[in-house]
Amino acid sequence: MHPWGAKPQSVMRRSFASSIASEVGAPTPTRIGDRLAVFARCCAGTKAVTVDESALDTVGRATIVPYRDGPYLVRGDFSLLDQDGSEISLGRRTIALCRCGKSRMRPFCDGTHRLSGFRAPGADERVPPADERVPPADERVPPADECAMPDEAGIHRRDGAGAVGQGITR
Amino acid sequence: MSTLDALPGLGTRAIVLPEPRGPFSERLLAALRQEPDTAIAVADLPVSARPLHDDDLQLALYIAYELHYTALAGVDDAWEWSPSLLSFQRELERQFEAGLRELVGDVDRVDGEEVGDVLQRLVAEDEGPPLSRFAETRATREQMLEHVVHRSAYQLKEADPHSWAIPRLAGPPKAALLEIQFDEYGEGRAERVHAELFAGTMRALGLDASYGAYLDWLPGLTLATVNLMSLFGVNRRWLGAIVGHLAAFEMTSSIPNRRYGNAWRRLGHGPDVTRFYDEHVEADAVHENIAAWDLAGALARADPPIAEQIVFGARALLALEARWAAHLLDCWGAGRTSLLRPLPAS
Repeated sequence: MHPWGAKPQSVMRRSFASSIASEVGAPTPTRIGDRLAVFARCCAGTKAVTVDESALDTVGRATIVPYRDGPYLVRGDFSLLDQDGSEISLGRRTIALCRCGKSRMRPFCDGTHRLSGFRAPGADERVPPADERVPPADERVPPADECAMPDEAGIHRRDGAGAVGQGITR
Repeated sequence: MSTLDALPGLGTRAIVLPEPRGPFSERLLAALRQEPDTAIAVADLPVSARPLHDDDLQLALYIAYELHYTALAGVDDAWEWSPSLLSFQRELERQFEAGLRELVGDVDRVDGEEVGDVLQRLVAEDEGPPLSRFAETRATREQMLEHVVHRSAYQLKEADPHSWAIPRLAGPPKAALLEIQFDEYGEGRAERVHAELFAGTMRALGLDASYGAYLDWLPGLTLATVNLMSLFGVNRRWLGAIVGHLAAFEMTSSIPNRRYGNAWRRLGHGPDVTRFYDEHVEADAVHENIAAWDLAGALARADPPIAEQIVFGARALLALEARWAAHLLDCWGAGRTSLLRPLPAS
């Protein structure tokens, strides 16, 4: 169950613009929904119906933060889906996604990284962009059709540039 | 058990005064039945040889702190700020603090920038007795029930001692603490408040989930683990320590809680008993990162001199929990109860 009610905010927000007329006066099952309905009543009949939706965003855009030697913390307005597109229930507003690969309840962190001695910075681990350094000859990027080999995770890596995605362990 | 415990869902809680255990609790409990600010003799109080293990001293301190958390049956609420109570409490704290400083030893100078790393290292190097592993693989139902009763001294007010820090923080550390506490308190949903989850576990096991019901069973060392949080939480002078305590607490929670959940599953119980533990595996895997880096780390960066106290709070938690876990394993190893007396048959 999503902490704010039956529907994740992203769904509420997407449906807002298209269903605003029918929302007016209609009871909604969530507190966010109530707020939107009240807001819609205020806006009805004015140009404000085209208001920037971000103004309604009480949770904020999604952010993902890798914590040092630990998981990814995800906050804000997001949905977590399985590969088939079904919603994975969150249970809380801020979640921790496994980064060490050893959790017994993936995709969520269960603290096992402490037992496995997982080490990773709380920062971007990519090699610096090409315009910030002079790459060694063997790392120079060949034409796209020769190098873009999707690995099992679907992450495109340049051959020879193994540091790309190093922090993501499945 | 009491007339005051039959108020579930009303948001109230109250403690029935326990039996006195010695000079500390005798004096306090006798005074609390009188008018507020009745004199409590302090000058001739004994000096406890082992304050952390002292059943009497720790009970008196626990009751003194409870005045800040809850109603005590038959006790005037004005006792909370009575000068005689406060000077008595201060003397108990003095002895408790001396015991803690001896337990923890000297804390090296800590750079404010390094607090997050120091906490990670402390937790990684901590080798407490393997209580959760014993629970997962070998503990009996009776031993696990005792474990729940010990923990009820804190879990029925889970998160409350750390909430004292909220008005004393500002900026990013305050927001970080609130992010943790909001989750602890069920994100606005009463049935998900962690203390309520624990009460559900107790009820599913046939235990009395009313607040303070097992005080007469709890040894000093168990009460000391909770008094530690109240000492650090109630007193603003210990702000850094309550932050360090919370960080180390969260950082050492997910894995043991998975094992305690497994222990109850091994003993044939389902989600009504394990929900509390399962919830903490996931919740504390989130909280530990926020507590170590965004709360403790950010506080020390903003106020570098507080760094040592943060580390003191973390080390005090780890050392005291290790003593407590050793007590349980020693008692069980010797075939006796780890409580002051056996639990009534449930």
